[in-house]
This record gives sequence, structure tokens and C-alpha cells, in this order.
Amino acid sequence: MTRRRAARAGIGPRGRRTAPAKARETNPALRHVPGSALRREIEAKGIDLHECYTCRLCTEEMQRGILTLTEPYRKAYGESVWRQDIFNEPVCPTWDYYRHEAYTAYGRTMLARDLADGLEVDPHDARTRDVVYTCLLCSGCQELCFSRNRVPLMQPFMTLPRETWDIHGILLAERKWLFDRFGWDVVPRGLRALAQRLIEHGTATGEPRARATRWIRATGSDVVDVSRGGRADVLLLLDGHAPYDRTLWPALAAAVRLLRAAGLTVGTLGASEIATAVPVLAAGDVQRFLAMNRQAIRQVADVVRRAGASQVVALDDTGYQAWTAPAKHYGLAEEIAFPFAHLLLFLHRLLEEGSLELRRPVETEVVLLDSCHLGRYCKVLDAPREILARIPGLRVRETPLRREYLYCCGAAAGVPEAYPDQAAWWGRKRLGQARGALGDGDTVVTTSPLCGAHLRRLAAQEENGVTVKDLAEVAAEAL
Amino acid sequence: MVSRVNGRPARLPRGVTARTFARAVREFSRIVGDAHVSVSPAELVPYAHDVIMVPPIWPSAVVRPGSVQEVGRIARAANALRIPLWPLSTGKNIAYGRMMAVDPGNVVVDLGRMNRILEVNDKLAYAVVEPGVTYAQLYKHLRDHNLPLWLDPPATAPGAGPLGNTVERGVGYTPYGEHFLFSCGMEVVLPDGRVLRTGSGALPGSRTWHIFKWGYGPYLDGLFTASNYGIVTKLGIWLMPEPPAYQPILMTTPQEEDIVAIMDFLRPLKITHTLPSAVVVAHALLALAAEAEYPWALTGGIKPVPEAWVRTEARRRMLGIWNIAGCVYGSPTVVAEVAETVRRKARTELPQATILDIEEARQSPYWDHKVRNMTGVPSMVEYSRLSWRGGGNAFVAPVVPLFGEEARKHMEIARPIFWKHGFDYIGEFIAASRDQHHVMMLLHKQPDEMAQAMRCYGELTDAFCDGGYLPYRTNVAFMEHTMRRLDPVFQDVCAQIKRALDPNGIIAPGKNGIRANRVSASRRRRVAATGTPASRRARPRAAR
Repeated sequence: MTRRRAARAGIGPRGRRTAPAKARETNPALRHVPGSALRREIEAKGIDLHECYTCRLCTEEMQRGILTLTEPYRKAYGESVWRQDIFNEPVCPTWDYYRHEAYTAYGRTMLARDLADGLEVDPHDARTRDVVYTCLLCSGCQELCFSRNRVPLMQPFMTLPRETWDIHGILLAERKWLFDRFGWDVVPRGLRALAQRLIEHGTATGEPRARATRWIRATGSDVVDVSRGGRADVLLLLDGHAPYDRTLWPALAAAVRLLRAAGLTVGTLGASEIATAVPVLAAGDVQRFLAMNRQAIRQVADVVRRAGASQVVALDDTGYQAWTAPAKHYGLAEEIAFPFAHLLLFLHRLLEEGSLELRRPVETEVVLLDSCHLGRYCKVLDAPREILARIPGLRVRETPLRREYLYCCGAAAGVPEAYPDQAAWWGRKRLGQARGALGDGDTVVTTSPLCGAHLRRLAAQEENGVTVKDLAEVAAEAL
Repeated sequence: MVSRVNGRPARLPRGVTARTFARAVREFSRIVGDAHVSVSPAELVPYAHDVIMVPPIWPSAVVRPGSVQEVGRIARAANALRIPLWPLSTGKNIAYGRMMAVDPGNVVVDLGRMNRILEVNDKLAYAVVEPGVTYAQLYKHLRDHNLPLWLDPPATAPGAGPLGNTVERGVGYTPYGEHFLFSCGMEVVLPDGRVLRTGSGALPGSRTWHIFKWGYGPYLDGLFTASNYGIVTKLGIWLMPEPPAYQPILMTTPQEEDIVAIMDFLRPLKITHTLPSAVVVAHALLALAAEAEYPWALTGGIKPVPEAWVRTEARRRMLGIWNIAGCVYGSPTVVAEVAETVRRKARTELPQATILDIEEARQSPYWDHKVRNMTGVPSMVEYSRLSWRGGGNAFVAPVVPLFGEEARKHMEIARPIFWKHGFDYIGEFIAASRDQHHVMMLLHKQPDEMAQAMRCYGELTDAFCDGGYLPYRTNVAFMEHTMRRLDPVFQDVCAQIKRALDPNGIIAPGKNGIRANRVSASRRRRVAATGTPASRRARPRAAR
């Protein structure tokens, strides 16, 4: 039977059928099952919940033979990894912290499966909350997943795309279902407060958005407020966190200096700064998250038109992810109608075109820490390395867990607010990995403002002799 | 907090009131701390599922001790309150039930936090491990400390552990592949909380606990394998010194009927220890199931897979219909000579076999995986089989005398049953010194084919027992069924030992079919006739 005929007969690639789901919808006996909405949500994403074999490989990097055949792994560790030894290093932070099967991607997948089958949970049960919301949505599991990575092994003998098996989609759907069912009761207190600040004020701190311009005066940055009618070549989106966090102002100023050095005028939204509000998505309030972002996209599109900006640049990695992720992850990629890039991608392009040059030697050693959201999820992994490679005199080191296999520092998904102890534990571990990779240097370079702020705070507490800088800051030193 | 499953309250242990259960949970919390006890369904989910033949069996709680003292106190508390415990090491008893208990409502004792490698003696070549230590962890430890010692990992799981695998009588592929044979000295928490040290460890301050197996007096270690008489919390395992040289011998043969000649060819090589590794003779479909996608488009899901497809796909991957992997170890001269002897013998006795070039063959994931298994490196390639039809797997593993004719006869018993139930025969013969493990994978699509797989498993088990072939391990769902096929005297003695050590039957009730209570003759007959008890039988998904 050809593939086309098989499809006509209702047999998908791997023989999966959609009929049972339809039967469930039409079967009155099953309609009342509370999890049916979750099943519909997940099946609509084209995900088969039973594709998880609970092999535990989504927790640790130890699957020689499968993973090593994949392009990302070879890029991270070289071509000869097929014969190299396993690391056996935990990649899933929650597994690493709890060492409990429930706190893994497959534990959460099994939970989704059972919820879809009718398992009832108590929204006030702290353990249920912990299992679901300690996850950093760092998508490390996605990269290690056996079901996904088995695919390259089989090629060219099979047709299943690597993206079909989608743990990230399950984790988000699980949160959405819990939120739709139980509301804010099920969301941990810290995350709830953060999400509500973003919803009510559009800022992570709860300050009024008018304060989004303080950094400009403090750093003397040369930017135009395009929301007041000014014109600019580039619109820099600062999002709901960076402009209100003093520790990140040097990174903002550095970004502006780099863009100005390329001869571009830089605009910001001033007191009308947007918030992509990823913690609202992390809480599971998908409707609100999408509504807020659609409004923000309309606002930005309007400003771009008025200000004549030829490029919109996102500084925040989670915001960039939100606007470039596919709809099945509740992203808005399909709705962006203006030129949109992350700052590092844009800087890389300027360097490639020759509009920007980094000439001044920076004689130091740094270790690069990728961000889960920008690096692992959005695959912005080469640009940061190539930017740093262009800085004369700079020696760049990598941690053993790097690129797609990086270890999350615990800064995202509202986890530092909801679970500060765990977030600090993960951050310290990541700093330890960075410290171990450094020789005589002391600088840790991050590609995300959120990671930077989190790690800087921990480094200050630890006093372990590490300085945390944003990649833009290091690049600006070479101007 | 009451957890509910499908609208019903989650199971409490049989015969235990909610009040007693709450008291037990409080007591466990006092012993290990609140953080390590849970009754939350979200935290119980991983313990309720197999991969994946059996419907979920929900435990009532999980408790995660961090030391042998805590395990002892848990056992004492459970004994006082008659709470059944289900101990787990790493929980990777893949295809035999994973973490799942025999009965619903048990309190899982997850020993995963006890994950210390307590000792590695490189001179005497042994290690002492706790239950939570994994093969990957031990492998990394040996490599990081540059110790010239080899592990003997099982085929499928770096995440599994040597302690759990040994007490379940698992096997590997190096000359140390019979894991229990190469274990030495256990620490066992008895159901009353006392701590027993077996073998030489019985002597306080013993200096030979993990190097002299037999100790003084009765040899007790075997009692604590494939049973439920205690909770093993430490185990000594002997490690194979890295040999100066080794040479894998990889061969393929083109016809199914070659199995008779292959096993007869291997018998003298195994009995004389000429080939000291376990020798795997795998059917092409077993290797293909790990490397290829089930040809849905070709078959429309109808089994068995056409032979022409199997031959074509096998050829593309340097595979024959039968694929033989063994290994020779020793000094370079000895290895070269013995390997050549084996090859010469193969050319005479198995003229249809193709002897593969090792380096060329290792470009294939399957052959590379086999070589790694025989040289002490954990590998995951075989795990891919789980996705052959869609996630479901159960091992059927009877033991057969090491004769070619026996292998053929055994396949003749097995294959029609697989086909009758709509599954492919996917099997391998693993030649040990005098027997062969006929390991068959019941690969199915879950959840749709789960009930059918259960029926097939039961029929296979019965057919093998009828023919005089005993499975060396079974899925938890068939433990009681298999035990009831054994001689009543053996059953009674197992139960008597259980009653002597665990009169309240609190440790893993039903594990390997052993319970403290007397089994009536009628129940014996019923279970033997129908498979699992009615409460455990798979039901169609829609009805749940």
C-alpha cells in the first residue's frame, strides 16, 4: 500500500488513527470524562500521548548511539562522538533536584495521559502543583527525547518528522487544562503574583510602565521614543522585565551602543513598552497570554508603520520565543507581519554585512552560557558564538553541557518567583559548571537578560569570583 | 487528602482502613521527612504504569528512604500497621513490569535516593552498590577513575541498576553475564526491620564479605532473588578485569531453518567456555525492530510482516535472518588463536554463515550495540524496539536446553501463538553454558492492542509450561499465574519461608507469586486456568 493510499484508508505514518478521538467525542458515555478536553487539546497538536516509552532518557544525557546520530549533538560535541563515552549528566533540572520520577518530562507526560483518562487531582494539593509548575519549560527533555531522536536513526526509511513528538506541547497543554479547570487556585503563589503583575501593570515588578524610560537617563543612551512620534531605523523591544531591573541597564545600554555603532537610529516604546508576559503562559492562562500579545503585536505594527522602522529587535529571549513559536505552543509566529529578530541575530547580520565591526581587542577569557529559550528552543546557537569569535583577543570556553544540551539556570517560567530555593540551586549549579570551564578568566557571558539577572544575583551572594555579563556588554567592549 | 482515579477513591491497601493508612503515612513522614512521602496522585503516576502491556495499578503512597536505617524503620512501622510495601531500586524492570506492583494499594518504597557506590576495589575487582545506583552511573565512575574494570550491562537500560537487575536474576553479555552468579554478599532489611548480612558478611567486621560468597552455614543469598522475603539494600558485584585483548565474532545466516545448525554449532563452544560471552542469536526482525519503522504503509498494520520485506531490509543493514554475536577475550595471542578456531569451525559446520568484518559491521547501530554490550558499555539502541508498533513491550523469556532441535521446536510453539493474536514473532536465543534463553518481545501498539497482548502472553506462558520450559522471569501481571504452574510442594515451601520471615506478608505481596497466606487448591486451579485474577485482567480502554 502506498503512503497516499494508506492515508486515504485512515492509516497515518506509524498507523495512528484519529478515529478513537472522534469516537470519544461522540460517545455520550465518555463525554463527561473531565480529561477529554486535555486529550482533544493534545491530539489537536498531532501528538500521540502514548509515544512516550518512559525510558527516562529525557532526564540525562546518556543515550549514546541514538543521540549521537543527530545533527545537534554532532555540532555540540564533534563528529566522532559515535565512539565517545556517555556523560550521564542530568539535563532536566527538576529531575536533578528532586530525583523523583514524577518530576521529569515522562512523569509529567504520564500525568497528562492519566488526566486525559480521567484522573482527578486536587488543585490545592501542593505536590500536584509542584510536579507541574517546577518545570522550567526549558525544553531540555525535548532534545534528549528518545522518541524524537530515534527518527534520524531510521531515516531515510521513515517519514515521521522529528517535531511530531512534542513534549513541550504536552507540558503547555497540561498547564492550560489545569488552569482552565481550576483557575488561579492551581498556580503557585509566586508565579500567580508575577503573572498578575504583568496582566495588571505590564511590568514584572508591578511598577507603572512610565518607569520604563529610567534606564535611558541613567545610562545616557541615545534612543528615540517612537511611541511619541519619533522615527527610528530599529525598534528595540525591551519587554516587561529588563527596563525595570537596574542590573540589566548596562546590557540595554550596550545593545543601543552596538546598534548606534552600526549607524542605526534606535527607537523604544518608552512609557508604552510592551510585555510579552510569558509567565502568564507558564501559569496556563493561554487566552489572556494570547490576547495580551495580539494587542502588543498590533501596537508594535502600528508604531513600526508610523516610525518607519525597518526592523523590530527583541531583547528578551522569552519574548522572542513567544513571538516566533508555532501556534501549537501558543506562539504567534503566524501573526507577525513586520521584520522581527532577536538582538543577537540582528547584530550577527550587521557583522556579516560589515555594517558593524568589533575591532578593539578584549584580552580575556569568557565562558558562554546559552539560554534555553533563545538557544535551545529558538535554535539561536551559532549567532552568539560567531559574534564572540569576531572579538579580537577574546578566548571563549564552553561548558560540558552546551548548545541544545545546556543545563537550565532556573531563571525562566516564573520559577524564581514560585520556587526561589530550587531556582537558586539550579543557578548555582550552572555557575559551578561555568566556573569549571574557565581557566584564568572570570567572566560568564549570557545571552538572556533573565538568565543574566538571575546568575548575577547568585554570583554576588556566592562571591565565587565570577562576573556575569550580557553578551551585548562584552561585544560593546570591542567597539 | 483523598486521591481519585476515574471518579473513584484511589486504592488503599487491602484490608487497611483509611485511619490506619493515615497513621502509617504520618509514621513514614516521621522517619524519612515529609518531602519524601507522598500520596499525591501526581507523584504516584510514574509508579502506576508499566511499558505498557498492563493497565495501571495504583499504589496508595510512595516513601523514599535515604538510608538502610530508614528502610528498617519503615519495615517495622509497616509491619505494626500491616501496610504492604513494594520496594523498588531504579524502577527500570523494563518489559517485566517497570515499577508496578502486583496488587493495587501497596506503599512503594522507592530506594532511588540510596544511590551511592560504596566501594570499588580495583585489585580484587568488585564493587559494592546501593539500590539506586545505575549502570550508567557505575560505568561513569569506572571511567572517571580510570579503573580497568568492565561492567556487565543488560541490553536495554543504562538507567537500570546492577542491584535490581541481579536480584531479578537479569543477564548480560560478557563472561560475567549471569549476574547473580557474579554477585557476592548482600545486605537485606528483613520484614521485621532487622538487617541481615549474607555470606561472609555475617561475621561482624568481616574482611571477605564481597569476595567469598559462601560464608559459613547455609547460603542465603538466593532466597532474596526473584522473591519477596526482604529488601536488598547493598550488593557486592564482581567486575570483569579489562582483558588485554578481545575479538567479537559476528556472523549472519540466510535461512530460518539455520537455527538448528547454529545452536548445535554453539553448544560445544559454550560448554567448553571457548566462547565465554553470552552468544546472542537474534532473528532479523528483532534487529529490524530496533532500527526500522514498522512498515505501516506496506502492511496496513496487518501482521506478520512479509518475509520479503524482512529480507530486503535486513540486507540493507548487514543483517541476516539469524544474527550471531559472541566474543573472545584474553591475551592478544590467545584471542587471535581462539577466534580463528571458532571461525574455522564455523566455516566447516555452518558453511551458510557469513562472517562479518568487525569494523565494517560496527557502522551498523545494531552490531555496534552488540559489541558494546559484550565489552561492558551500556547502550540504548535496542530500546528503539519499543516504537516498532507503538510503545508496548513485554518480554516472554523461557529457558530451553542448548540444542538446535529444541530451539526449532520452541519456535514452532511460539510463532503460531504470536500470529494467532496478531503479533510478529520477534525473538532471540541467548546461549549460556548449557541452556538458551529464548527471549521474545511482545511488541504491540498501546493502548489499542494491550488486551490482546495480555491474552497472547498468557497463552505463550501456558504453552511453554506445558512443554516443560519454565520462564526465568515474567511480567508482574503473570507472576502469580506462573507460580501456580509449579509443583504444589515448591509453592508451599515458598509460602512457608514467606510466613517464617514475613508473617504479615508486608513485603511485595504477590511478587513472583509468593504470598504469606495459604493458597487454596481451588484458587491455584483457577489462577492456573485463567491467568491473572479477574481484577488484574486488561479491559478495553473505552470501558475504563
